[in-house]
Amino acid sequence: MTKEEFINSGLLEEFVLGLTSEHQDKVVLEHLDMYPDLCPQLKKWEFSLEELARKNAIAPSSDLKNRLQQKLDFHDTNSAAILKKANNTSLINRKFWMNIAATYLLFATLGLIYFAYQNRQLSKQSEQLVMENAKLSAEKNDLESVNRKFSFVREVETQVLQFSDKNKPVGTVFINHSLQKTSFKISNLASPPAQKVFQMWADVDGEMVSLGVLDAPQNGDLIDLPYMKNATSLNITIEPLGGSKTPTVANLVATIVI
Amino acid sequence: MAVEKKLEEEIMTLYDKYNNALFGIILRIVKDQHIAEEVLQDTFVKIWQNLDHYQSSKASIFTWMSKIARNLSINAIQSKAVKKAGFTYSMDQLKEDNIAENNINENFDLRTHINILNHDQKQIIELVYFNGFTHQETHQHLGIPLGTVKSRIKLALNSLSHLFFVSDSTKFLIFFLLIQWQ
Repeated sequence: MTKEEFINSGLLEEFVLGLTSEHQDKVVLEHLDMYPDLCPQLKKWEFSLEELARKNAIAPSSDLKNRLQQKLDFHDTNSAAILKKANNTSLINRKFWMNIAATYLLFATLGLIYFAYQNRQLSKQSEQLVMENAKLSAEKNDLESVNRKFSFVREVETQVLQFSDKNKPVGTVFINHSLQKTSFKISNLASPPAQKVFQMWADVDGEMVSLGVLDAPQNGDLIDLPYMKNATSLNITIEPLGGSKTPTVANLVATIVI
Repeated sequence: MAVEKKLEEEIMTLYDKYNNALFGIILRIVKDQHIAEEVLQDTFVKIWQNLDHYQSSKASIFTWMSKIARNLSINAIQSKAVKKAGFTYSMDQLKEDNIAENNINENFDLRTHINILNHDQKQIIELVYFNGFTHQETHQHLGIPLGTVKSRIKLALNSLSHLFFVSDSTKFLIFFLLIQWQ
């Protein structure tokens, strides 16, 4: 029989259930020699049926063992060799199952350790990815914000004026009347004296209107200023911390006529 | 004397280890405590006499011993029926009677131990393992195709393997891991 034919014959199942004749036993054993990969399946079924029998075990009378001892002739000279073999065989079976159990245990433990390690690594990577994502998202928002600011600067209608202090440029003012927007890009503004701040002013109809205090200005910053429709000039003065209600003309740093 | 003493101890070790499991099989077949005990004794005598024919590399000792026990049990119920009826019973009739007794005897109910099997698989195991039906007899008794009989037996054996093999090794693994964690 081919392996497939042997499997489909059901002989192996009949063998493990003890239903085969002596001739069929020989056929099964020959085929197990030919196809040794079927042996583990046989061992599993044998183990299961033994367990089934154990779970359905019933105890005979307690004196049966004594009656059996009387019935058996232990003086038979062949018996020693026979039982030595039996002892070895049970040992072999025990060893076989212990090996199976140990192998299973080893693989299961290694598998658990491996999956736990993988899980930990993936969790770490996942946390890192979340952090990276948040960081990239923040950077993207900043870039979009800068882009929006600079897109206004690039508009054709935007008026570009240089802010100078004694012929030295301190920054550039961008004014767009259509968009009603004013920005100031700081380029070369020195730090204010201690306990002082720079304050922006607009001359509107002859009156100086505060446009705000330049809080810790850095060269390169693009600062949005309030749009003043009728402003005729812009001015920067040095004022006490917190700013002033009216400009200190003596501390005028820079001025520009619009 | 030392060899004889050791011989006696070893056959009795086999008895101590397997007598309850084998007696459970025998009693389910013969349905009589007294006859079952006689069959169990005969089983161990035959095991003792034929141990040199047993090949451990081919089958487990329990498979070999349970086959002896089952064959002797079937012989016993056959001769019991012959004595009782005074004429020759067919094996099919014997097994039919035995199944009828099985069905009404709750002491021999396997349901508590093989719940993992469905009705068809349980029926097959009862017929072939505890009543000694061949595939052909099972096919005739249940009126199902021979191929179905074979596949149900294989499924039942695989389900049992899953139940006992996996559950025992899993328990062992959990026990091992618990020790490791402590």
